[in-house]
This record gives sequence, structure tokens and C-alpha cells, in this order.
Amino acid sequence: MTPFVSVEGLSKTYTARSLLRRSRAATHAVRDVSFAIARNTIMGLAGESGSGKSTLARALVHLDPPSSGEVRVAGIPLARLGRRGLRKARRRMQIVFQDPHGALNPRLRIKYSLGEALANAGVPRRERRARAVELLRLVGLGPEHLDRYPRAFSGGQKQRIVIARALAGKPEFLILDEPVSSLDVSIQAQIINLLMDLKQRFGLTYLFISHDLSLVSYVSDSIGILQDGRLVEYGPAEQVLKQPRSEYTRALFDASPAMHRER
Amino acid sequence: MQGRTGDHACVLQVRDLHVTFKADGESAEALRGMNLDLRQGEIHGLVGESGAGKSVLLHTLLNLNRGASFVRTTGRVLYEERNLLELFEPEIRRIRGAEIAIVFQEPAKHLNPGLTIEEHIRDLLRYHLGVTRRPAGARTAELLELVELPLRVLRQYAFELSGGMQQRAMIALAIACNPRVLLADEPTTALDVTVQRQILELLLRLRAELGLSVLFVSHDLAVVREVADRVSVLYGGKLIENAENSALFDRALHPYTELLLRSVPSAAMRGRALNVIPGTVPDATAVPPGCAFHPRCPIAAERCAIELPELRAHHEDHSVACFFPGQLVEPAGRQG
Repeated sequence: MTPFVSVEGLSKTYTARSLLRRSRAATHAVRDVSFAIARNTIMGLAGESGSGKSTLARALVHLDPPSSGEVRVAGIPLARLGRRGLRKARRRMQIVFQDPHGALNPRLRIKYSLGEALANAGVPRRERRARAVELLRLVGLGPEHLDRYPRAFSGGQKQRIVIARALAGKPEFLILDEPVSSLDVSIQAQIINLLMDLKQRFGLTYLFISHDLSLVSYVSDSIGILQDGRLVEYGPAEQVLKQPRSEYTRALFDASPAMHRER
Repeated sequence: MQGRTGDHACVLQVRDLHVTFKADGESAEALRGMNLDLRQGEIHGLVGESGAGKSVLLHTLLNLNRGASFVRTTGRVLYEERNLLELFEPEIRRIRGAEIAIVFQEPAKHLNPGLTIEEHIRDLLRYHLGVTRRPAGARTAELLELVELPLRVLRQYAFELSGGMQQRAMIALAIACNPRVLLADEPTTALDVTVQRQILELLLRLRAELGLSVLFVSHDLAVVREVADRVSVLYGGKLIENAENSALFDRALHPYTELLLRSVPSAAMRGRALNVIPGTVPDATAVPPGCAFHPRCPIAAERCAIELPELRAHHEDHSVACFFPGQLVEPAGRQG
């Protein structure tokens, strides 16, 4: 079976030109990363801060074009698409970021935030309200929330709205970048269950990025571990959890505080 | 990693603490009758979600509540037979940062960017202990050794240090005046797991070597499980459960504690839906009457909405504020 998302030799290099000197220092934020995600599965991506998780996410959807390597989504190489093609392709993939407070415009009522996303997805004006209500229902909110501003919502509710907005264009692939890290423990569980339900219901494919190894262990079908921009571990979740190949992965799991001891 | 205290001598006792703020014209009671004992030499984990009152409690212990929104504090914070809440500012200043020290989540925010680490320590020693230049130098080197930082750090500024090293520097400052009590406010939350591990081990070692009593505040249950001797759970501005570490994590009695523990994802939970506590944590301006948890509680009865359950010893060394302790049913298939 061909994977839904495939990444081949992806690298992202930043060059910082210093003001006074002519020299350029190249930072290899992501180096030669390859993986594939099968349709309707979840790949978990973990690593410490600065390991390149978010850079990889942005390069993957060509928000920042990769320095080299190829990304294919549903068999289509993104690099070959023009600007318009890329924009169209991006409807099929969405990123949900960690901080729901920063993701919603505080001056826009929820219906406009959702309406904008629906407009981008090509939904005709007269259908947008009904679709917005439908989106809110999907994430456990209701039509009464349409006229409110983001400040009226708790962190968990905001993240639900951000997820609803991400679903506006009926995407097939979501990149979830620390989607629950800023939420309370009991709210995290609500959002994780919601994401798992949506995945089943719509056959979605996820790249689930988190620094939390327990969470990655729980959600993932396959797991990748990034260290200094390199994918030092990659394989089916069971295998990575039971017999990690790299020393670094073992060190990470050992250092990670565990809630549930092995039974 | 856990040790136990032989006697139950308390270094810090909180009695019937109420703290009120004003939010948008409404009065908000952030702490609603908090009781807490910090025993000599223990690491006391304090867990709770946002709004439970963790930070307010720490601020109150140091008598730091002020500002336009602060209304009043009632109750007692007993330290060496004195109520810290009744002390005048010059008196509390001698205790704050010296006998009762604090370590914050983001050390960079609490270190002066214009001072080197050495200048921080020297100022502190001079202020609290009146130590002059030369003896201060010896003590400074000793402190750095205690927190396992190289001496070169003395001449460095906070921004030149990694997150882990900043936290070590913060801890060095906290222990500089030989405190009896260390308040740790989410000290490892901003750190990567490997660095977090090192800081936790450092805290455990310092507790043993210096005989510190530590109040360790965290939202992270797994971290608390690893370091704490005793654990207290906060909800809606009250302490709702308190027990020795393994008793709390293996045999939680309050439905909130039990549900919270079940909602943590892990490899062991793969393929099963996480337990969810419906609703959200109560806002301090609108704490439900009776037991604050009753609207979210699956076993709540009529009386839970009316009467306030007091914190009572259920059995030895395990207290809970619930009319139906330990009566939440195990979900199917959890054992094994």
C-alpha cells in the first residue's frame, strides 16, 4: 500500500548572515529526514526543544519550503505544485498549533473565524453559517457559540474551535503540533479523545508532535524521535516502545517520568 | 526515590486559609479554607489544575498578596510558632527568601539580566546575613558546588546559561541562606525531560543533605509521583485529598483524584479511550455550592450539592474531603 504522506531526504537549512562579517553560518535545523505515514494512522514525533520538530512540520507543508528532499501527500509531490496548486493542496492538510489563545483573532467573533476558513475552502457564502454550526457540533460545541469572541472561551474550548476551523476544508491530513501541551490534565484527555474520534470518523491521517513521551506512546501507530534535526529512531510504535534502536531514545524514555508503571 | 519522615514535626502549618480577590467587580475566593501540614524533611507534592489555588497558596505563604485586585486574607500560616500573616513587612522580609525560599518555573524571569550570578548571590548574602565581600566568596563557591555548576558560571549572566543551568542557579540562590523550607513552583515544567530528571535528582539530594522541607507544586502527576513523599490534591481552592505517595496514586479516595489519574495517557492505555472528566475546572468567581466537584462527579448525590464535605482522616495518614470516599467503581478491564 502506498503511504498517504511520504517524506524523502527532507532537509531544512537556515543561513544567518551576520551584520558585520560577510560569513554565513548555516544551521541545519532538519537533516535528511525520511518517513511515511499510512492513511488513517498516526505518526508520533517526539524530541527535546530545538530538535527540529516544528521546523519539520512547517517544511512538510511547505510553509517554509524545504532546502532539499521531497514531500508527497496523496502521491502528489508538493514541490512541483505552483503557488495556486499548493494553496489548493493545503486545504487537504492543516496544522493545529499548541497555543489556542494565539491562534484565534481576539477581535473576531467565532462565526467570522470559521467563516474565513470556510471561504478559503470555497464554501459559498449562504452555506457558511450552516457549515460553521456543523463544525462546532463536530467538536462538541453548539450554535450558541457562534456570536462569541475568543475571550469568552476556556483554553480547552478554544482548542476545540481551532480544531473545528482546521476541519473547514475537509482535510485528510492534520499536523498536530503540541495540541494539548498548554491545557489542564483533565482537558487534555477531552481533546485527545476528540482527536481520536475525528480520526476514526473521517479517516484522517495525523502527524502528532509532542515533547510528552507518554502521550506519544499512547496515540501513535508509528513513532519518530528527532535529535538535533535527525530522525534517530523511526518505526512501528510497539517496536520503538519495546526495543528502541537508538541509545538516545532509551535515554529519553528512562528520563521521562512515568505515571503508570508496567503492570 | 522516596524517603519517609520518622516523626511528624511540622515546619509549616496552614490553617483555614481564605484568600479573596476581586475580578471584574466580582469577588473571587481563590482559597476557601485551606489546611496543609508541611512535615520536617518531606517533599510534599501539591497537585491541581489551573485555578485550583496552587500559586495563590505559594504567594500567601510568603505574604506576597497585594495589588489592586487583592482584597483580603484570613486564617493562619504558622512557622516557628508565629503566624506569618500577622508579621510586619520588615519581619517577613527576614524570613522570605532566607528561611522560606522559592524556586520558580521560569528562572530567567526572576533573575536580573543586568547582574552576574555571583552578584545575585552576593547581594542576597549581604542583605540577609550581612556577609561581607571575602567570606561571601567562599560561600558562593560552595553553593555552586552544591548545585553542580562550574565556577565560571559566577561571571556569567542568566541569558548566557541554558534553561537547566538557570534553574540550578536559581536553586543556588534559594538555598544560599540555609532555608528550612523550599517552595518549588513548577520548577521543571519548562525543561526538557533529560534536564528535568537532573533537576529532580538535585532537589532530592539537597533535601537529604540540607534537611530541607519542600513544597513541590506541579500540574504534572507523573513528576509528583516520582519525587513526593506525600501528596495533596487541590480543587476549587480547597485541599480535597492528602496521603502518602503510594497510597494516593494506588488507592485514591476522592473521585476527582481517581478520575484525574485515569485521564493521563500512557503506553499502557493504548487502544482504549482516555477517561474524561466532563466540564471544566470551576472559576474562582463561581465555585459551585457544596462540594466544588459535584457538578462533574459521576457519583454525586443530593447532599453533595448542599453540604460542604470537610477534609477528614479516612484511615491513618490518608485524608479526604468527600461523602463517598473510594466509592468510584473501577472501569472494566483496568486490572491485570
